[in-house]
Amino acid sequence: MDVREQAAWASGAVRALREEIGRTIVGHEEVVHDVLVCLFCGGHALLEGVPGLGKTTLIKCLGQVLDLVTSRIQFTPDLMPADIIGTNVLVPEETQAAGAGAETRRFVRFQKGPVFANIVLADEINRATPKTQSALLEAMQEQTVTVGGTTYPLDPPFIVLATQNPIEMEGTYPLPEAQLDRFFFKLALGYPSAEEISSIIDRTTAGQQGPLSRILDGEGIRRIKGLVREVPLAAHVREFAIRLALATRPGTDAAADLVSRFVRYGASPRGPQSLVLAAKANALFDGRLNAGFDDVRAMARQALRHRVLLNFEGEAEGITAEQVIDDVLSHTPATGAAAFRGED
Amino acid sequence: MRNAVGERVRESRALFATLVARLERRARRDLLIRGAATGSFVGLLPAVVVSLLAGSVPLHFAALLLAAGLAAAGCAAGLVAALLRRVDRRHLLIQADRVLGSRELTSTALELVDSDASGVFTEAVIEDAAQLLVRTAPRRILGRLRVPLAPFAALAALLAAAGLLFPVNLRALFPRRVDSSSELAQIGEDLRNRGLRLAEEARTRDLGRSLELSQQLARLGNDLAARRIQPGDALDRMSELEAGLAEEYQLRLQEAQPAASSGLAGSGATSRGTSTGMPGDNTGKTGEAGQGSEGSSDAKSALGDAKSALGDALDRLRHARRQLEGQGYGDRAQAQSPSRPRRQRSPSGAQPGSHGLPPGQGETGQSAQRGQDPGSTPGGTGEGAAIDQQGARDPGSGIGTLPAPVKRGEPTTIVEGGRGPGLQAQGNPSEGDSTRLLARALPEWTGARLPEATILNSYSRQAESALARDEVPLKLKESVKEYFTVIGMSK
Repeated sequence: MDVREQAAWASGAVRALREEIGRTIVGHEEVVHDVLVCLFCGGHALLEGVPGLGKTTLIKCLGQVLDLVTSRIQFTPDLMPADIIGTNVLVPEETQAAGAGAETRRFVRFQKGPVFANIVLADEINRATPKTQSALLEAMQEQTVTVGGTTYPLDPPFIVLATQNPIEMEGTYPLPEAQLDRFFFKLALGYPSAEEISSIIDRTTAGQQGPLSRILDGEGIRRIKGLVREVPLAAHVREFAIRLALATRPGTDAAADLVSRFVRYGASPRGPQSLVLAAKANALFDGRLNAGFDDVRAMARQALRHRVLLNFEGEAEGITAEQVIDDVLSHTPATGAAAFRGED
Repeated sequence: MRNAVGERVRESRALFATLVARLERRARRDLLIRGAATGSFVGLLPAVVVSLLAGSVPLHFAALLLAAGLAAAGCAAGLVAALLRRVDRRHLLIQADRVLGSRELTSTALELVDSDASGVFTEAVIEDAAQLLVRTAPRRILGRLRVPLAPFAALAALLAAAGLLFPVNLRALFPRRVDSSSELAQIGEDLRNRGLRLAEEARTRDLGRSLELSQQLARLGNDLAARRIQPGDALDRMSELEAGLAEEYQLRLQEAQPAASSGLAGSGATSRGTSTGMPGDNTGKTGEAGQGSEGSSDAKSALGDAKSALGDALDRLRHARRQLEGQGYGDRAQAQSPSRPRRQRSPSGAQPGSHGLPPGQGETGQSAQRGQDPGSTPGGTGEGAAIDQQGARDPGSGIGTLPAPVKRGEPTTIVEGGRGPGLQAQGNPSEGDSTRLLARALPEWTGARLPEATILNSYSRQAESALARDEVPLKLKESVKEYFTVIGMSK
């Protein structure tokens, strides 16, 4: 298959996925797109939104159309790490000698937790204790689980889709920065519009809806993931992504005014990493063979919003990370002085 | 199959490199044009200055060559600067992406070509970029060639050419403005003093017209001293006053002449047109008829004093006017009032004290004027003399009385070569046909004769009155005193 055909196939597959998911999920096209970007970039997404917006439904749909194993973990304060990653249990085993003289032996066996799936929904992740939350760290970063000195690899593709409720903050444990940084994207789900609600009602209160079609299998996902990483990205585009990330850091020359005033910590190196990879995926999904400035801009909010930590003044002023990123985008020229200008 | 793919890859890379090189050449050409225009403009600015100065300032070089050289040097400098400037291909293609909206396709392709990268999408990207550049004209990427300085350079070239073809004297266009307010005040002060002195004299002699003129002179001096009057207006008033004073002077002269003549006749002295030649007395105001005669009457003396004061004031007024004209006010004033005569002549056609001469001729002694018999300048120690010679109606005098071979009004002859302050001898224009002859004061040439005893006393008195003036430097006063002392002792 020619490279153009491969790119077209990948773009078509993603489009088909979105359309198929769209049969169940009303609206949230951008969120679906961004979740797919996360999937094909090998990252994890943190979805933030009020209850009832279809977060869990979205992830279930994703599991159906991709023919992947999905699991759902409802995070609660009493959830233990072992409940997520699994634990060693004693399992009785009878000897072959039957009868009265038969002996029963017991041995330890690892009982896999729900994290052993391709798509893990960590619902209301901020309700669990930090200890439990951190149980996901190794799985998210290394895609392995270590229990009792034994490391168990997770089957690829592995993607964690965590949700958190931004309004019920009592009894919650906000995710530590280290864990936040491990999420590829942080996606915000907004309320659906009136038309979308009407469509939701129609679909959920009418007759039984048929199951979703399988669009891609694991092999297809692997191929698209490989293509994403092959998309060329020019050096000046990469520099732009780096400048964007640097501009979120207060105290630097590139920092915008809003950053200097309201930001405590800026993006870590994972920020531009996510930005560049997401830009490549975005270009490929669009049917293009190279990534550009627009792709970086399109992915900037999702990739940087959870990596920009506001200070107290920013929180008190009601400043959001999105505002900061928009300010950074508006103050960071794409080409800068790089473009040729004959009049100079 | 693999060879065919490789050939296609090489072709697409070569095509892309060719297109980028074409774009680069076009960008370089634009830079050269802009550089040449900018450099030419910069070079033409001094060329314009040179062309404008060429008509005003004597240059020691060919203005045309210099102007052309400056323009050419500026153009060459602009070209060199454009050549030295680096045309970055990466920047060119970023510009191309921006203009074409190709989302960094061409700049990415350039990077892939330069790095010789081999990826899944590398060749496809290069091929797509080459196809895009094939379909796009370089001018679209580079934009319309704009040379903002070109019209200004053309204008400068026109100015330079016009300045060289039609030289303009900037000094004539913009006359020098001399801030001489203090000098004008000094002149005004002097005129006021003269006027007051003349007024006192006129009041003593009961000369109504003279008193009126002296008061006008004092007022003019006041105005000038207080800087209440513009130099141009001052010149106008000076001209009017000059005419009035000259007329009054002639009248006083005519009144004094008979008295002087009678005094002279009685004493057997000569000279109706006596002359003075006082060293340092460049006013040349002479014609002091009767001064050479001893024992003249009181009336004669009074008239002579009044006339002398008038002549003095007139001289000072003319001197002040020359100063103003020398400062450039004269031309402007004349331009403002073209009807005003440049110099007013006395009704008799000859002005007292040789004032009928144009400035710088005769009066300043730069040149002397020759008459047929310049021998009536006994005091010809001066370097030049001007003689207003009356008619030959006084044969008895013998000295300073010459026949009038030239008719009235005939142009005088100007003789070059005189030096120093001019000396004038003044005759009486009221007597017979007189002409004004101008002679070079070289008595040793002409053999002029005048009894020394007759003239020495007159000279001494003239010298004393001259020495009494404030403006005679102390050093010269001493010289004059010593001169007459020596003469008196030797005789």
